[in-house]
This record gives sequence, C-alpha cells and structure tokens, in this order.
Amino acid sequence: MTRVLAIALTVLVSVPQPAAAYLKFGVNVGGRQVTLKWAQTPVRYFVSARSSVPGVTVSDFEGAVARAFARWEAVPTSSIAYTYGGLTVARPGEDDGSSTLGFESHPELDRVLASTSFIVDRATGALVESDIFFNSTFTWSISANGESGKFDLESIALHEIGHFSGLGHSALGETELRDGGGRRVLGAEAVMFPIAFAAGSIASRTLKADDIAGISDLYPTGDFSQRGSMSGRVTKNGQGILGAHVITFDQATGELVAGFTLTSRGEFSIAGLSPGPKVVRVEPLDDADIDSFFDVSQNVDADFRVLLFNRLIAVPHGGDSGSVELQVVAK
Amino acid sequence: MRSSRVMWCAAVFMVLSGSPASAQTDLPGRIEVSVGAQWLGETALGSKDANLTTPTGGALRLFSTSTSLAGVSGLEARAGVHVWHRVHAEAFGSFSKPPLNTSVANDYESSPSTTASETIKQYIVGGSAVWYLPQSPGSRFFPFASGSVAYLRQLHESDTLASTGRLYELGGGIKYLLRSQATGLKGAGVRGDVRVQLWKHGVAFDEGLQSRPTVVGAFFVRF
Repeated sequence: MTRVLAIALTVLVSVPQPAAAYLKFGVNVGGRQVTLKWAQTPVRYFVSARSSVPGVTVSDFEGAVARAFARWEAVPTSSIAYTYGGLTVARPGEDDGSSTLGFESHPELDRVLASTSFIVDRATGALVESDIFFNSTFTWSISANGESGKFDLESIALHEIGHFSGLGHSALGETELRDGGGRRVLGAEAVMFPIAFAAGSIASRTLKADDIAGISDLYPTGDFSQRGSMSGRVTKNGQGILGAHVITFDQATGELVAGFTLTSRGEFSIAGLSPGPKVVRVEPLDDADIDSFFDVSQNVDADFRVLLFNRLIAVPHGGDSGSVELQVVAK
Repeated sequence: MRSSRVMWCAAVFMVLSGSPASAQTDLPGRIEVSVGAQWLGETALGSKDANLTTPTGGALRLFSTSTSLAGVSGLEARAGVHVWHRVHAEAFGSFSKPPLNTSVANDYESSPSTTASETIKQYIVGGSAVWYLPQSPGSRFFPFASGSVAYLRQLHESDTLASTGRLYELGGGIKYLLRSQATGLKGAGVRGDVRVQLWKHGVAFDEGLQSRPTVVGAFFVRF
C-alpha cells in the first residue's frame, strides 16, 4: 500500500495521472489506470477526539461533517454512503486503517485550509483509508449563516469529502489575482473548485451539477444510466491538446458540467449530463495553478483562446453524443 | 384537457357563423387528398445565462444564451373525408428541418459571440376538423376554418435524441376548385391555409406554450 497525499483547497492537489473528467483521481495499477474509489460502501469514518478549536466544539465538528457527508449521500444518482464510527484517539494522517477527520495545526501551510490523504491498495487501486485534516491555524465557524472572517467548516468539509470519495478538482470557476498573492474566487459552480470562497461565505454548502455528475460517475445508481455523455477531442493546429477545460451548458436546466482533455490526443469524455442540446465552451486552465488539476510533469497546454463552439451538441438519454471535434486557436 | 378546449373553440366558431345546419358544400366527391409546401415562422424559445455562484450566493454570468427555432419551409400532406354537414375530418402529416439556433454572447473572458446551431428533423402527425363556411352559389372558392390536434416529434441532428410534444393548430383558409367532373377524379384545385401552431414540450426549454404562424399552399384532388 502507499499513501498518496492530496492537499485540497487553496493550493495543490497531487493528481497521479487523471483518468477521466471532473476530475476523478486515477492510480497506476500494474501499468494500467484505475479510477480511485472505495470498493465497498458505506465508508466508515471517525472523528478525532481532539477536533475542537475556538468556537467549534467536538460536537459541533461532528455535526458539521455529518451534514456534509449527508449532502453527498443525498445525490439520487449516486450510491455513495457513509457511516459514522464515532470518536477516536487517532489523528488524521496516521496509517491506522481508519478514516479520520479532525483539526490539526499546520501553520507552515499558510494557504491550506484542509487536506485529504489516501491509502491505496496497490494491487487493486481501491481506497483503503482516507483522512482529512482541517488546519486549525485558521479560524472556523459552524454558524448557520456564516461568520465574518471565519471559514465555514461545513463548506470546506463538503469539498474535502468529495476528495475523500475519490473526486479531484473542478475548474468551473473564475478568479482574480490578489495584490498580496494568491487568487480570489469571483464565482464557482462546483464545490470541488480548488480555491475556497472568502471567509464568511456559506455559498459552497450546496452541491452543484458538476459535483453531482462527478460523484454519480464514480458510484452510479441505476438512474444514472439515463443520463448522457459527451465525448470528443480538442485540437489546436490539428494536434490534440492536454488539459483543455470543456464546459457544457444545458439551457433547459441551467446546469454547467465540465471536464478536461486528459490525453495528448486531446480526448475528453463528460458523463452525467442531462439529455438535451448543449452549448459548449472550451477554455484554458488559467483560474488556478495548473498543478491543482494535473501532475506538473504533464504537458498541459494553456495557450489558446476561449472557444464558444458554433454547434449545439445533442446528448441522448443513456448514450453518448458521438465524437465532437473542438478546434481552438493559439492566443 | 387541451384537446377538448381546441375542439370547443372550433364548435363555437361554427355556431357563430350561423350557417344552416343541413347545408353541404358544393365541393365534388367525399374524399380529398392534398400535398403542398408549408412555411413555419420563427419561434423564440427563451434566454438563459450560464451562471457561476458568487461568494455571497449571487450570480456571475459566464455567458448568456438566447435560443430560437428558425423559420423554415417543409412539406405537408393531408387526406380528408366528408363526415357531417359542412364538417370534414382530415388526417395529416408534415415534415420540416428547422434550425435550432442559440446565440451565445457576453462571454466573461470576452470570447467573440457566436451562434451555435443544429438542424432539427420535425415530424407532425395529427387530425383536423375542417368546417366549410357558406359560399356563393356556383362559386369556385370554398373558405373554411380548421382546428387540429397533433403529435410533435423533433429529432436532434445526431438522430440519437428525440423531443416529443403535443401540438395544436387553429386557422383557416380557402380552396379554389380548378376543375370538376361527375365520375372518377371528381375535382382538383389549390388550397391556401393560414394557421397558428401552439405546442408544449418538444425542444422548448420550459413548460410554457410555444407558438408560431404557419402558411401552407397545396394542390388537392377529390374523389
């Protein structure tokens, strides 16, 4: 077994060769890519008995993470389920076979609100353990309406539990550079966007269509088979490009669901789409560090202009749109 | 519910016209077959923004869309039979390929606006009640009013996704008898219709009632 560290929100996430859209994580097992997920559900989790910070008791912590787990469980097209194992003396990050959530102090990680780490079975690629720590260096809130200057524990837990379940980051968001460094989120349409909303916001307590598509793709129920998919290639000068962000928009539902091109041929596949015609937009990764999504060794191409595709792409019930070629041009 | 309302409107129209209940038309024969061209007007299907959620729970527009089913010409065929007094019943089918156009604009990163399109294959199959208005004795012109209920099937460009709905037509027109004879083919002429089509569902993006004008020109024969 090996521990794969994924630091989430605000900065880096290590994504060892992404396997498909949203992103899902992929692991290399015997030379083949396997999607990282739990082999069995419900997934048992524990809360560290040391999980308290000023303004958040252990009981508050249990309540906030329970609400966040419940939101993922409530997705009707996903079978993911969790069960609470109770308090534990273990701490997040310990290789003890138990998935533990709790506060830890990491002042050296001054942009990391929380992080999720995994233990993966190298033989099967299945998740064995996943721990989440919330950085107690920051100030936290469990207030129903949020508190100015404090990060909303439930919102951050919702994001981390997405990682805990096997989801990577989504790039559905827009940011601007801050004077003091880093980026400020102007808007996001996925809980799995890698950068958190500013302290005080509770706008990330609700799963979006992109999150729902992602978790359903990992743990589908029978209903998910009625959703459709879109696949194709993004090319520049006739060559496929890696790391292009492909956004689909459904005018009937208002849903935005996105994915990436994940091969050097520029191939993408986005599952979990509502049937119907889609508007397609392709953009380079420029609203977060590229290594929030891809391994730095990969040749991600961010040198192209945003494309609003001039065709509507019909996504069928329970099927694929057929291959679509999206041609972008260099900036 | 909708179909009964359409029929009710047609019935009221017949009563208000005050024609003798026993009157028949001077059109020769009982059965009519027509084939012609139709023009369907443009229908706006609505606008919607692709929004991101802001930290305060508001909306940040990524881009805006506005969609319409463009005007198009098509084919229509009808077969009718005299059923009662001045009332004829018709079965009909039509085919057209209207473009579904979505204007995509106001991109957050200032990407040039575009129109994203696909071509819809549109099939309509239904039945009509045609009521002939009184005409001058010996006239070759036969004005009529009509109401229809139909099944709408719209097939997207990839032929993998169909949208269906129910469609209603209200309108009227006039037939002009070019020739008539006592035996065999008893008559032939031309027909012009102006109608309003109303439908729900199909490629529409909401539950509202969509509408468009329709104009048809056809050639008919009577047996």
